[in-house]
Amino acid sequence: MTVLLSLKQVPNIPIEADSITPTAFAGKTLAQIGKLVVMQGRNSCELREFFEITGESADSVEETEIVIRGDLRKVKQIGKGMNGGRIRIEGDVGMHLGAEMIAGRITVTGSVDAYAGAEMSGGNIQIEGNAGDYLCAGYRGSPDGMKGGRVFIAGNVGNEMALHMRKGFIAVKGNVGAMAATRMKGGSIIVCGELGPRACIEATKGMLFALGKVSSLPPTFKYSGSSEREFTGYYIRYLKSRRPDFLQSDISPSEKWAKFIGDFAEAESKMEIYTRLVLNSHLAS
Amino acid sequence: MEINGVPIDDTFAEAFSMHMNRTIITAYDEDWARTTALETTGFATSVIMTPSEAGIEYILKPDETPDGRPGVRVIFATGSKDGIREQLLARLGQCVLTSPTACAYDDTPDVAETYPVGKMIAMFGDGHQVKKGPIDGRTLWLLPRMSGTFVIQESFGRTKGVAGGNIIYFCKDVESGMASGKAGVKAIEKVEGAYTPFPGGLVGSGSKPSSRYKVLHASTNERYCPTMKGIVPDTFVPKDCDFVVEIVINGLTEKAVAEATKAAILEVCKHPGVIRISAGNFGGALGKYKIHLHELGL
Repeated sequence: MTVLLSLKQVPNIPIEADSITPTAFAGKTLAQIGKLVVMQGRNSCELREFFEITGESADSVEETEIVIRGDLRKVKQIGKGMNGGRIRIEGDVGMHLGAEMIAGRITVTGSVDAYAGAEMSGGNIQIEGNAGDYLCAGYRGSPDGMKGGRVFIAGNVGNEMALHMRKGFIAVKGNVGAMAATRMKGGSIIVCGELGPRACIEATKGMLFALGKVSSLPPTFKYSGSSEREFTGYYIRYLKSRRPDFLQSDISPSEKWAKFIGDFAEAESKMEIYTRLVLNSHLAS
Repeated sequence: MEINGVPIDDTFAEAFSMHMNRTIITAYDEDWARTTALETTGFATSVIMTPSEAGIEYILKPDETPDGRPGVRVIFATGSKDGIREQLLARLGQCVLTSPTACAYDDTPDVAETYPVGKMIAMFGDGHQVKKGPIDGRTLWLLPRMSGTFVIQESFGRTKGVAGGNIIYFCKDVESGMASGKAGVKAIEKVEGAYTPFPGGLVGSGSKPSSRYKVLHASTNERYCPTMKGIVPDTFVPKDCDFVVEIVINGLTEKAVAEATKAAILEVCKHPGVIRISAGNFGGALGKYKIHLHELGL
């Protein structure tokens, strides 16, 4: 069952719409959904003030799909903490999309602003455009960032992606900005495009596969050999099965990968960065 | 019933239920994956005196394996539930971990129970092992070794399978028996879900489940021995036969064992010197499954 939300007009002040989740919508009539609370600044408003609400609601979370249309760049926190069901956003969307998400699926045909998937612990986010800064990051003061789930970005990503990441999987088709995976302590990341500077600073555990060019890595990462890797094929195959469009060309199992391990400025230094030797021989020494 | 002029006896193979696991072994090339698989399924012909009945089930193309490298699927069978866990620990630990570039992934269908065998083997990493996932439905352990990184799935499953499917056939001589037997085993390798646990898939000493010696559970079945046909009054061996072959077929399902039996018969009957095809049973009193040769759709 699909509930369709169409933004009436772009709000002058951003709204915080964390009530737009399948969990909040399930079991409610369209009229009841319209009365769900959204915040605009310090004002408590109703969802129907901003959206035309049509379609058909479902009894269960799993059967609930929410489709949202319009220029949503000033709509924040859609799908925050969602725990099942599906959200489909047709266009661009604002900050904190799917933050603290537990389960379910969000797809976005456009781009997302900062903090998408922040501190998420499960579920699947697919973004066909770009993602802003702090994708899947931890909030200020939080010890953990992303704790689980799968995120696929078909465009580029801003700075400080996967800050404090502990578990989960992120794949980026395009380029990634500066300081990706800072303080990472688990999980896996595949960057198909270019990996920005100062990646994995203060990271202690986890894996990052850089399929594209890497201009530089922090000096606190040590080169640890170039070879075929038994497991890179596993991750590449997984990515290919989910998003075949992310890989520009086939990567052979006999591809040589340069390994870097660090961050040696930390007490634990088990973060592993794998880069394709053919594109990054300048790093291998 | 005859295939290519070879008579097929109206009889059945009697098969039993066993606990099984199916594992994918991958390596840097197909030849080495097969070498590793052969080693891992070694000394595993019959539970009469080996701890497991194991063999190669299917050869996988690189795009069919979890890591995109060439692979071989093997099946292990044991009589007890705990035997599966013990055998996986010993065989994957001693024959896959030790084989350069080889890695192991569970591929058991209809899992009844799983064992954290990979997690235990990963302790060889001595603290350098890393747990990854779940990713693509698997939790993996990565541990450094001399050839690179050993990758093993955390848990391996157990399911119920079928063991003891067979054909026994009579040949003119060694040449006709071995050539047809090897070809029959090759034909079974193309059937998913079935495998042949004996050396090269062929049995040279079919047994009966009794012995005049108290210490033995099984002994040679003289009724199938060509050298005894002169003195065993109820011999099964035809006059012009000097070589008898048995192919024992185990599998994950009765259907897989039956399909493999059919494939073997069709292949064996193409070979000159094959006189008659039969199957071994205990009168139907012992086994859970009966695979009738005339009901295979030959």
